[in-house]
Amino acid sequence: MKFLRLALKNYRGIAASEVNFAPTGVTVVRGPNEIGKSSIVEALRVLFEYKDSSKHSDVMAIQPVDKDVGSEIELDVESGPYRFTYTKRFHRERRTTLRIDAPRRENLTGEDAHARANAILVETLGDDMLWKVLAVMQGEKLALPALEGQSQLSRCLTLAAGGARSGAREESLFDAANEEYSQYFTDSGRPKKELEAQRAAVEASRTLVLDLQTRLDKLELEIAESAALKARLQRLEARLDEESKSCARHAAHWSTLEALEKRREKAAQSFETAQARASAAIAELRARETLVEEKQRIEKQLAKTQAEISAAAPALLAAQSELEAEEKRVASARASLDASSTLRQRRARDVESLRQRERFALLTEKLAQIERERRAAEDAERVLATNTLSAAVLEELEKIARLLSIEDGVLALAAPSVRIEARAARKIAIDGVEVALDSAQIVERSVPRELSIEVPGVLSIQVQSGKGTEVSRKKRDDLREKFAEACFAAGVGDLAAARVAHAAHASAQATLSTRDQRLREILGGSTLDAIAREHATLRARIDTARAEADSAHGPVDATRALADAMRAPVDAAPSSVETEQRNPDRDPPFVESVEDAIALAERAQAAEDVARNTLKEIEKRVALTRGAHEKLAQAQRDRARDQEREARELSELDRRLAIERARVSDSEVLARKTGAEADVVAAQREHATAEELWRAQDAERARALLEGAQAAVESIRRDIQATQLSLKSVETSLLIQGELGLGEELDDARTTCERVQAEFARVERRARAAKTLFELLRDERAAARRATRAPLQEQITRLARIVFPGELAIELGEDLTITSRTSRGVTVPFESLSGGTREQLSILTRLAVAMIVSGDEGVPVVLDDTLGYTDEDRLERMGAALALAGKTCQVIVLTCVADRYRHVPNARLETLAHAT
Amino acid sequence: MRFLHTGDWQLGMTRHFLSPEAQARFSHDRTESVRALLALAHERACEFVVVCGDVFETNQVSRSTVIRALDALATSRVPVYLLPGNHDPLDAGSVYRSPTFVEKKPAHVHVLDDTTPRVVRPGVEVVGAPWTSKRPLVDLCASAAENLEASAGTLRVLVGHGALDVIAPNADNPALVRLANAEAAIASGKVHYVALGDRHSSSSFGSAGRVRYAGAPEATDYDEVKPGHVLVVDLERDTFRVEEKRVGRWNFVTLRAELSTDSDLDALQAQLASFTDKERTIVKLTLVGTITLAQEARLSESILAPMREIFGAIENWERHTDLVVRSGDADFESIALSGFAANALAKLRTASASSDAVTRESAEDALALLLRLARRRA
Repeated sequence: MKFLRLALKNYRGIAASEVNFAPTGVTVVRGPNEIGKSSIVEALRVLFEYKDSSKHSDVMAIQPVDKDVGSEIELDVESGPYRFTYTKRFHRERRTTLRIDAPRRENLTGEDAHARANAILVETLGDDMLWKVLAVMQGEKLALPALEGQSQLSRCLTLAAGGARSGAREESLFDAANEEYSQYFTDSGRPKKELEAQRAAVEASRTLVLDLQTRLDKLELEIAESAALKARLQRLEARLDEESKSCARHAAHWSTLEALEKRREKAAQSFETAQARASAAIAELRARETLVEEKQRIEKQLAKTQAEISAAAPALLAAQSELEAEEKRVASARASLDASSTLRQRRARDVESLRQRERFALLTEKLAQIERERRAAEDAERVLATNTLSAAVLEELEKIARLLSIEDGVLALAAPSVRIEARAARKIAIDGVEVALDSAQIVERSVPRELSIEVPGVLSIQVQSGKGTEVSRKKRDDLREKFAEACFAAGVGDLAAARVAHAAHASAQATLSTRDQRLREILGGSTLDAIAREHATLRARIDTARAEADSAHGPVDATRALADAMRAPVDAAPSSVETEQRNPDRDPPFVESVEDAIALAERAQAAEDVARNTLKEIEKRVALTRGAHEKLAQAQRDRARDQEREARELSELDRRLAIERARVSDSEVLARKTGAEADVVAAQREHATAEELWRAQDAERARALLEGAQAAVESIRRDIQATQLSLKSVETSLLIQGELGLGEELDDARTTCERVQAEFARVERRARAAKTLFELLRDERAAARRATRAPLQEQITRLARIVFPGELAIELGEDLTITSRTSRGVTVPFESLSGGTREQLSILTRLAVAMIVSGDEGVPVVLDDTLGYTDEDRLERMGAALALAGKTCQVIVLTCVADRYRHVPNARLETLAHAT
Repeated sequence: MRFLHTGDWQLGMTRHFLSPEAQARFSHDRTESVRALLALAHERACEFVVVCGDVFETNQVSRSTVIRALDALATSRVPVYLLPGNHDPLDAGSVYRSPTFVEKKPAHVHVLDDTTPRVVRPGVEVVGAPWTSKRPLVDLCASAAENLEASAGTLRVLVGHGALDVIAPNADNPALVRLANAEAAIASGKVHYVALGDRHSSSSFGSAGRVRYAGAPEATDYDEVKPGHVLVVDLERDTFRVEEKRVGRWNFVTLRAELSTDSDLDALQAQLASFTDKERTIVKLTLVGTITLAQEARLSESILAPMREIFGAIENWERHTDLVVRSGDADFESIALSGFAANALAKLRTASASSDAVTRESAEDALALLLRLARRRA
């Protein structure tokens, strides 16, 4: 099939345009953007698919916007032997015409034209319309073409693979075989449950047959055994009869021999008794002799022990006296140590006592100081209680006094003054006070408020200060009053008295403020309470010590004692021991100072240590002496015990021997032994005689025969019993088994077994046939598919090698779509490839298909505005691939960017006109 | 004096080629034949019935078989003498000593458990030669006759079991019944008729014909001659007459057919259809020839399968069957496969011509299946 010419009128944005396609090779159709994408593919599809009367949205879409005109598509086509022009006008003045030029002329219109056009396509291309699959509209370009079931392609591929094609009939056969196979086998090829169950049933039925056969065999054995047992029983009974007779014969013979047997037995018994008696007599004699010997032995031992005791006595005595002397020395050394200890303790007490007294004196002094401080503080507090004239109060007073004097000055300046100049001496009264004036005497008076001047008998003048001085005066009067109040409050009359009082106040305050500091110094970190407590404790102790000393050495003058206490010497009376041991040079009777007392105490300690060491040494020595003595004493005690025991044993032996002799005398014991030995000789003789007689009769053999016969009878009887028992048991078993119908059951089981086996064999054979057929069909089918895939895969790979440099392999799936691309050893699934690569591969696939079906059945590849995702370098290579395909196929490319395809050599360039 | 001679009832016998339903029918009919022969004895005024061994198929028959047998025996008052044979010997496991048998046995039924003559009526005695084990070491009939004295006024029937030396393939078997001994006993007048069992075909031996097998009253196998009969015997010292009466209903048939064309198949079909009493007929087929896959399909699916539903049984006698199925071009002409299916078909056909039997069979089966599936689809 080839498209030769396409003419569009009123098609989307195109008013009228016509393009001619190269029958073989690449035609690039340039179309402006606005005409709508995919116009060519769309136009082809609309033309072939829809009747002119169609209202389908695809058809409606091609009408130009806002123009009520008919859209017209006209196409010149070559397909197989046909060459025709197919025209359709939609929307308005609808019409369909088909003008066939070859192989013979035909002109059709309307429905007939539509039908005929479709018939020609089907006739020349088959049902599948492969060209539609190879036409790519924009928006579809990433998808791989759906090639599976494309019979035209499949036919070509099969031809290319050199095989015959298969179709629905074969697929249907395959499905049927699969169904048959599925009756017996699972998808994974294992036998189905039913088949396995049937096999198990066969096994079970075989097992049942075997089991029954075994049981029946056992039954047969039992039957045989039963017969054998019966026969044996018969034989045994015959033998029993025989043996019984023989036994009777032997018994008769034996009874004659029985008397001899008895005598022999009796003699043997007597001989045995006599032997036993002789043994007893000999034993008694031996016991008596042993007793006597033992007595002699112990007597000898006792004498020896006694001699040893006497020999050891002097040494023990000497050791004893030495020990006693040593022990005396120990006592003396221990007494000496005690005396040293007592003296050392006393010295220590003296040291303590002296220290206490020193301390007591110090504390007494401190208490006195504290008392003095307390009194001074009390005096100060008393002063402060009445004297309030602190520094602040004094300052306040002085301040008021200062202000007052200022106000007085002010007032004096402000007040009017009266100047009276006497012209003559005259007495006048000023404010009632008579003043005698000399002539020319001038009297000046200030008028604080008012002043009355009277010249008696002449006149009276009243001078008033007027309002101008009123304020000053008031102020001054207030201050004066205030000052008076302050003085009164402070308890003083005037400022001078206040200053004296303040000096006393300050002194008392100073006393108080320094008191604490002084007290702390006196206390030296302690508290008054602690000091008082310690003082009291010490006093009590000193008193106690004094009292003790008094009671020990008689009453002492209390005054003297107090004086002693205050002087704090140690004046304890020496103890009697001290007195005895005192060395006037080293140990002066009185000491006054602590240091001396300590020296004395250390000396006493040293003396005590010497005494203790001496005692230890002496004690070590005495321990040695005691050990030696103890050893000697122990040895002597052991000997005494031995002596005692031996004496006891001797007396016991004496007692036993006496009892024994009282029972049987020594001579009697000897006589008995002799008599018993004679009896033995006699019994032995009789025994030998009887034995001889017995042997002469061969009685032994007779008895052995009898016993043998009896045993045989007994044994046969036992055998018979056992056989009867076995027979009974077998018969019982048979009785039970016989009723079970095992034979018939076995026949049944065999029949069943054969039936299920045959049935299973038939099923198995059918299953095997199904398996053989299905697996063969499956393998052949897969192989066929693989084979037909190969040419397409090769063609795509060939094209892809142009586009993608380097090593490259393309893998196709069952459905003929690309599953993966392997480039430089890396395999990438198709879905994971980039959009551009996918688009390129999908175009290459179409080109490959077109190349495969090229020839009379060839179909064009129509690409609408593709390769938008492709870069420049790749575009160049795609151009080469398009050109290669163009050598055998018709390739039509619609683009609005014609430049994309400049790399396609020998491409025909056409333009789809824009609307005018 | 008239009595009925029978034997080899083989009650409890099963046949492996029978379907369960057919087996049930077979077992039922075997008991029915006992009733029939007792009815005959009654009808023909027989004085007694002798059953010459193998009354039961085995000593280890089921209780129900024993009970059904005794129930059938109880339908008549005619005295019946049962002889233990090689299938049901009087050993420790004997069915005749089983509690069920002892308890249910009717008074007129007697077991010939020793060789002591049983007096049926004064002047008529039955002497048994019972089997006491499966492998006796003597001619039991001769032993039984040995102790007998000839008696002028007494007719004696010796009841025995076993193969006669004159027809036995192994002459060394010590248990064989020596025809000479039997004839001597008859000649000496100790016995007047030797009633034998073991052989399922009715047959007579000896110069006077007084040594006889009655045959099985119901057929049990293909190789039996005139089975299904009992003998009504009129016996006198000087004369005797034997009448064979059929009581059995089953037939065992061996059928041989050569198959190579469709008409051969037609013939076989017609022959099978022609049998009367098909449900009591057991056929053993011997098929010879070469047929196509399609013919084989017709044979097994259209001819044998439906017939098997009707007949007692249709067996293939494997040993004698030589039927070769060859897939021919004709088989595959109609189905016209191409592509992978054609390849598969070609491979199968190659394999079907293989010299290896297993490969060939497997390929033929697969071809037959392919043919069936392809036709079904078409």
